Amino acid sequence: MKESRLGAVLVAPSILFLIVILIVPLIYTVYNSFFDLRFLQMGDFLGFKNYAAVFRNREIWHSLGLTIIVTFAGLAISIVVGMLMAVWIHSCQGLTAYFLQIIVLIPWVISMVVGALLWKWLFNTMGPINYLLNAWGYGNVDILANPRLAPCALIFVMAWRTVGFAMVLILAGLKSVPKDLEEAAEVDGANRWNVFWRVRLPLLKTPVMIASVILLLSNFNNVDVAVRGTQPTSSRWNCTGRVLSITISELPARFPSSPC
Amino acid sequence: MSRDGARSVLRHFGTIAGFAALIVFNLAPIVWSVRTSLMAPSDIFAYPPKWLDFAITLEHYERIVKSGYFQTFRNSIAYSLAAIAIGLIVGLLAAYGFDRFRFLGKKAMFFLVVFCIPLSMGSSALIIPNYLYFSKLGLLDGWFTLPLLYTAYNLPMAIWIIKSGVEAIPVEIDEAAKIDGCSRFRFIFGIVAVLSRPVLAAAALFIFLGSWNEFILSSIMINKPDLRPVQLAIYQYLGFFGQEWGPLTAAASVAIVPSIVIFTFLGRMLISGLTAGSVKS
Repeated sequence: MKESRLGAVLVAPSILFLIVILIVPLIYTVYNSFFDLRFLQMGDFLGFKNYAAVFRNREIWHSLGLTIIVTFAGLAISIVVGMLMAVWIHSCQGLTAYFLQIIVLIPWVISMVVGALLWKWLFNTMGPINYLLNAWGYGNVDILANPRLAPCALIFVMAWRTVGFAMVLILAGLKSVPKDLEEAAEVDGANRWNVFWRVRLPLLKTPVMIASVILLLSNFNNVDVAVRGTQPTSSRWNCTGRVLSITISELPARFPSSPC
Repeated sequence: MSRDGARSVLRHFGTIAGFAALIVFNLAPIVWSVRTSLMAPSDIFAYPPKWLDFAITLEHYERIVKSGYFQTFRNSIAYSLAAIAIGLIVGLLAAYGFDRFRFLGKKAMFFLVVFCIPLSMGSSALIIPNYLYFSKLGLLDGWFTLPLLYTAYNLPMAIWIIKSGVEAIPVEIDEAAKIDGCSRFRFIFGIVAVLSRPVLAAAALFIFLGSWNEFILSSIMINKPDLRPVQLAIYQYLGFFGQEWGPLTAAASVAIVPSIVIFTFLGRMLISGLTAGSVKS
């Protein structure tokens, strides 16, 4: 077999997998969006009517807004805390550094379903967090039912899960900063603060960007924490804790008779 | 001198505070859940909470076992192993192909792989079309449904991880093997696979975590109780056990064990694999 063709043959199974299972459904989504899909049956061509229906739906705008807030807030916390953790772990050595990394990454290793369940149990009105609040003289708060606190809880759990991932990427970036650059800066009279801001941080741009893009997309699409950690169908939740991904996943069930 | 002393005290204080925060935020939720799973129902909602003075019981574990929890455990293990096996074989071939050959459309194909990384990180928007599409192909609710999906969803990252290891193998080895008459496929699965063991392990871990922890796809693609994976079972227990936190936390505690055990021992590989491509680019 010719060498050049062999390369394509080697790559083919993977590409086939990705096209059949990831790319075609993506195109299929766009294609379907122009048709009447009531009861998940292929119907008439509607053009952009479905889009108009979505844009008129206030609930969707509401959940889109909430999703954007939750996504960016979660991302900002992950990156900042992840950066702090990375700098801290970078200054430790050997086994200590390894164990710190493991502990920071544990929330990322356990599933979102379990992570959300754990926190739901802790946020419970009878749970330890409320107990501590009581002990400090505050009243009971049903955190997950409170329209102001619930999104904060969502942001918190999301950030909790992703801090470790951000930390790992940033730490790898830190390790690749050449030592002589830092030493040169110190010789030139820069203090540690300056070394961090002027030497390390600019060199961390790439890992921070990569972590941000990945976490941005995964936060935006995250349905697990929200479904599991909140109670989408209970009336007390209304629109307050509804992120876009839940709304999307529920649309066909909730609007069986309207095109959407 | 005294200023240095103050600084070192501050440093120690910072370190201790950091450790404390880590333990409270990252370990306490797990410990709290394990603790709840070992308590009698009457103790779980005791107020003020019983921190340590409770009788340990395994009744919740018995209940989840009786409700068929270990079947879902076995399913998840089978799905993960299948996804790992297919993912590693197909991924190794692709990584080697991308690294060592020039062919028509290589750039476009590699772009496709990279494009699929964020797409595969969780795409709720694709759930419903994916369901329609799979039902059209007759791939719903089968023993092969989830392994196929898990392989495809974790493949882009696996290729990315494995490629970083293949790159590090000198081309001279390829040439030497060729001169010695080693066939390409024997070379890839014999020599390249052995030389890139660390990245293969990292990719396997990544695929394992992705498959073991996946929930949203299985929740719509799988209907038969016999085929449910672990995460779906935990989710469904919430409806089944209602607000009974004993069985819920027991199920959650058991589901965490494989991830944590594997990760604690092989974490170094996963960490190096995850960061393989991110630094140099």
